[in-house]
Amino acid sequence: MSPAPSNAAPPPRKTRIIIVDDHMVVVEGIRNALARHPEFQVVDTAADGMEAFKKVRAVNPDIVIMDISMPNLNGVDATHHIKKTKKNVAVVIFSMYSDKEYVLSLFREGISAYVLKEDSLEDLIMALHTVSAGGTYFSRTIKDHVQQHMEELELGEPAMKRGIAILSVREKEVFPLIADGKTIKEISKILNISPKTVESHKYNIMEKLEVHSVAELTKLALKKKLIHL
Amino acid sequence: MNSSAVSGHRFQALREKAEHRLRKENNRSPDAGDEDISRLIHELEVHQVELEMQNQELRQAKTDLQASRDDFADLYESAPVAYITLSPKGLIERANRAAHELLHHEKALPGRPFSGFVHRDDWPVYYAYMNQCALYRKTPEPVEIRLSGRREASPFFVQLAVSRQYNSFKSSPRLRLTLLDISRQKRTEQALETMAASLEAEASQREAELKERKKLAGRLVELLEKDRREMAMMLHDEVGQILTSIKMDMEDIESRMAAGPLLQKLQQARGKTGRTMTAIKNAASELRPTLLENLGLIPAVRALVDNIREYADFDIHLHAPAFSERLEPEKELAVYRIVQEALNNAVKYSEADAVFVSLARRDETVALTVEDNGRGFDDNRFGIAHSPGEHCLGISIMRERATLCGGNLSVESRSGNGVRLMVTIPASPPGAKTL
Repeated sequence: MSPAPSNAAPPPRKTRIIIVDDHMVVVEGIRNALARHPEFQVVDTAADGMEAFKKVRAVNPDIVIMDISMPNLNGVDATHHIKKTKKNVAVVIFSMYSDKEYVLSLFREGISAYVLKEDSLEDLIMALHTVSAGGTYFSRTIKDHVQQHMEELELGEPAMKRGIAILSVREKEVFPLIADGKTIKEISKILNISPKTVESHKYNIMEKLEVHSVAELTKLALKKKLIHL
Repeated sequence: MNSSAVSGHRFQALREKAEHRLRKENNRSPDAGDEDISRLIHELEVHQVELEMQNQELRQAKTDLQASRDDFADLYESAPVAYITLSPKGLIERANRAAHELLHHEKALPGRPFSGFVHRDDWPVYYAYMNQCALYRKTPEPVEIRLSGRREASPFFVQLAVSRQYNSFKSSPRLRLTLLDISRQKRTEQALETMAASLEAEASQREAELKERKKLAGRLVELLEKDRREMAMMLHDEVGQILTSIKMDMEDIESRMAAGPLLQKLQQARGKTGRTMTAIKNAASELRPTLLENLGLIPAVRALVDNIREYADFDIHLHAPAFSERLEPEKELAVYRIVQEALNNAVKYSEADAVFVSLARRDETVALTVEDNGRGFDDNRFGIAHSPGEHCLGISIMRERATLCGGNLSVESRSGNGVRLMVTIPASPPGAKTL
């Protein structure tokens, strides 16, 4: 994941690049920066995701430098379509946004690099070198997000094991009553809340605990000693 | 005249009959004895007494009758109801005091046509009514007509009832009118009607106002979002991109410069530009969450919750399984804003240590619940316990957002028992029901 040193011999042929950004100033900035690197060749540019998708299919580049927020088709969706139809085209995200949600969903789409616009252009160049050599590159913040997510995935347990801790206060009150076989009406009377509320609690409980029947709920409640036979 | 002649003849005939019978009886017993005579005298004397007694009785009966007649006459005269007797030609024959008072006529009523007192507009009703009674011998239900004749300029309402009245067998029947002054009742009725009409008008005006206000509230929410979107776009598209390009230019210049204090200065400036970019991006995201547009509701809510976790004093437990498909943009934004507002409310007012957010799609409904274990508030109409105005406005706006999407929002709370917000919104567009 760390940037690979790029002082190897220049590749036999130029890396063909499409720049996708809805702002001309940015496109020109990138083009300008790449001009000093003869190993890269900007073959085309696009101002939105839809245009990018069409041009990628027509031009078949090595790398797409992709912005996220764009009209017509945003960068996430464009990436999805590109990776689906042109698996070998590497996507390098170059965006202002560093939200975890963007990082994770783009990561899932199979992007090769994620560089933030607030980083320096040097980072982008480094990312392009790494990707054209077959590697991946992520800005510091982005790398943190990915790592954190990986840790969460490893630590993560199925909801059943996490148990009733994830239930809200009210849900914890409602849970044993449902498990005990009480009807919605009865529970609504006992807790002095509307039947609609009880119904909604029941839904939430079953969803959160990932059970699909009252019988399963009862089993769980017995195991947790919330109710007794 | 006619009738007295008839009774005169009858009297004469009776007298002749009686004399005839007397003569016949005298013939039958011409030689009656003393005994017979004295018996006859006795008989006569008894008869005389009898007659006197009868006479007495008759006189008494006459007096009684007179008293009774006076009684009834008095009753008739002083009855609070106006009585008028009409001749077959429709002229007033008799009228009691109440009738005089009611019609308030200067001169005597008898001899005047009653129809003169009936308001012209009500003549058709009046004649139809009288005809029913006079021609078809019916006793119809009373009618309401207007009379004019009181000194007051405006006509007044009476309830008119008619009955046929026979004075003797041969004469044609009189019609007796009973007139009940219902002008006050009518005025009350009219006042009530006016009041009802004005109330109705007011109600419909209120309703229209409410509708208008709802429309305005909806429009306000729309405008708010439009402004935010425009502002965000301006920040992101204009300011952000220019800053990006400035930063790129700086980097370009840096790469061509020799090391020295000037380069250092430029590098610092570039650092500042980068930080400004981040600030601008954050501001734009606050105004218009791009995550929402680009990734959809669930990732945007997850990011929002992550963000609020950083400054909230409570744990946020988020349950938001991924949706299989995107909602309409307005709905995504509405739900997002409601979650945002609800969590911000919790931060400001709840004093909770745990907040539970659940956002799930169930068939054709998107259900959101935000629940805290904080201090809550007593009044279900919101905001007694704390900072009522702002909180109440917050809830109103949330409700407005839910309503605009065809959904609804309810808030349940009791003091010391936290707040529970429930929102349901139809997942599919209205009218686009799947078959």
